[in-house]
Amino acid sequence: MKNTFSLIFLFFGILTFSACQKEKISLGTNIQDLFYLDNQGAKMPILVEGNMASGIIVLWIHGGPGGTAIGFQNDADITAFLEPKYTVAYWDQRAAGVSQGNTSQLGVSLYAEDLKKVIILLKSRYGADKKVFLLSHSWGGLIAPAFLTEGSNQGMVQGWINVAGAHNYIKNDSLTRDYLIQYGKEQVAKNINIARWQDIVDYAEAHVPDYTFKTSSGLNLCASTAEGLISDINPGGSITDIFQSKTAFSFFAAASNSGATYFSGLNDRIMYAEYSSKLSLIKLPLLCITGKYDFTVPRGLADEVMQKAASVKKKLVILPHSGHICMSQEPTTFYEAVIKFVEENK
Amino acid sequence: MKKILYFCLIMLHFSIISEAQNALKMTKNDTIIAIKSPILTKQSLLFSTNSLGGQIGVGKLLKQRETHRFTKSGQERIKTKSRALYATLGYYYQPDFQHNWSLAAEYAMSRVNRKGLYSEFAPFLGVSRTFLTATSYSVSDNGVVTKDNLAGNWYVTGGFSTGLGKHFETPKWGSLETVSAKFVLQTFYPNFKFIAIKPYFQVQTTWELPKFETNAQKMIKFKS
Repeated sequence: MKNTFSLIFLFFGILTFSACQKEKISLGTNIQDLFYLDNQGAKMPILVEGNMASGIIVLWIHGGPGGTAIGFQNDADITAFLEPKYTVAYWDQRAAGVSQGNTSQLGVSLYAEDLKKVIILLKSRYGADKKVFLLSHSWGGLIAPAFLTEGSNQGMVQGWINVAGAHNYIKNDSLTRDYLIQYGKEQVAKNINIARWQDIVDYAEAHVPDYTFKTSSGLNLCASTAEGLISDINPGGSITDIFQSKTAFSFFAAASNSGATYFSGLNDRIMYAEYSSKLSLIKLPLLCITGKYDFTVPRGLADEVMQKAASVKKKLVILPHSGHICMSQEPTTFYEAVIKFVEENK
Repeated sequence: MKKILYFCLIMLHFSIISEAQNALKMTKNDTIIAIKSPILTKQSLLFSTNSLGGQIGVGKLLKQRETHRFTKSGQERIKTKSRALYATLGYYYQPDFQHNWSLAAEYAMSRVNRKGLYSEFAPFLGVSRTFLTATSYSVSDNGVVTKDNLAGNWYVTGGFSTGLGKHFETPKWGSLETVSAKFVLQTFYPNFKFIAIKPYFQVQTTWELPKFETNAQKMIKFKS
């Protein structure tokens, strides 16, 4: 019995010793660092992978709200295409992915503040000379302009890669509805999946965007269903990707955080969020990428960013065989465009 | 933190069922006796696909019901139900996520059938402190970066464990009483004003320490 207790205490002793946090700062060509930003109650993980010797950090601002960069975006494609050339920083936002802690009310300005501090932290750890490019997807496309249109924040980053960015939620819903009706009617006329397209068209016609999350999520669901009916979209980017084993990822933590975001009321509040009126403040190099069949965040939003942003260098890339998760559906074209943009603006 | 501790103490108080308040149904043919029960201890190994840890606990038997049933052939069959209260200290390590320590009160409801099959359902409630596995930084509003020491979070933790195992008859000093495999669902609050869940498995052993005895209540029931 004495031996049993000794073994138990030894076991706990080893575990306690191992509990010490170890700071690891790597600067090589194939690094993998994990650290946290603690801001206003949230401990947000930042997983940094790739080639730090390049001096370039591509900071991924994931979708959602309540998604994950560490668990979803950090896939085989980005590892193969982007990480050998640059460093990629996968930041899990508050109440998302594997972030931990508690927080006051979630709001876009709080996420923008987090983003600013993530950039300061990256430059503090790896050197102020490191060039940061923002790569935002979907809901991340609301956080990015919230950050970029504030004060002198644009001076902190080298460029913005806006992938299917939702910078104006109510306009997003209107465009989704219009696209569903227009494309759906075309499919019905062509006798393709008539019953299912007709259901989508009927639903969209009956639900006019009204600043409520209920209508918005209903249209969003139709958008996902619509993408599932189009055979021209390349496979990839399934939600089941998050079940794959990933570094520093926990499925149950991510699921709990998704629940936290869902029940926080954030989805209702962001219905009124829009940065259309502030896009003219954006002057840094800009790349907009969108999928031809993206019903969730239709191309019209990218067109508006292209039209209103004051950037001298700006480019729009439409991926012809993609929906909303275009980085996984056409990874070669997607990452070629990203690399070209970074090389031209680094 | 104080509030959490007070909350846990109050909940612990409610979890202790008075011995006069008999939740195990009694009839006029039943006998209740006061018994001396040894202090109980438990040691467990916790594991899931991405975490590993352990748990130790010390407990007290609150009450026990022994049902004696006689078959037509005159054979006696005994079934035992027990209620015990444990204080447990648990730890698990989830690489690249957190170290998690928890201190909890566990109300173990167990039964043993005539073949020694042991089953248990045990709700628990307590406090948990997590420690991040990697360096954590704070950035002030004017951009000053500082490293945080012992970064992590306090949570109220609760949940349940349930499982099956083997009960060994007449344990002696230091001897093993049960071995069981259990499923545990642990929850943490507040996780961004919501609940975080952590399922894992547990291999549990319970032991008796007869040198240290406490009072308990035993009800003996005879059924024909």
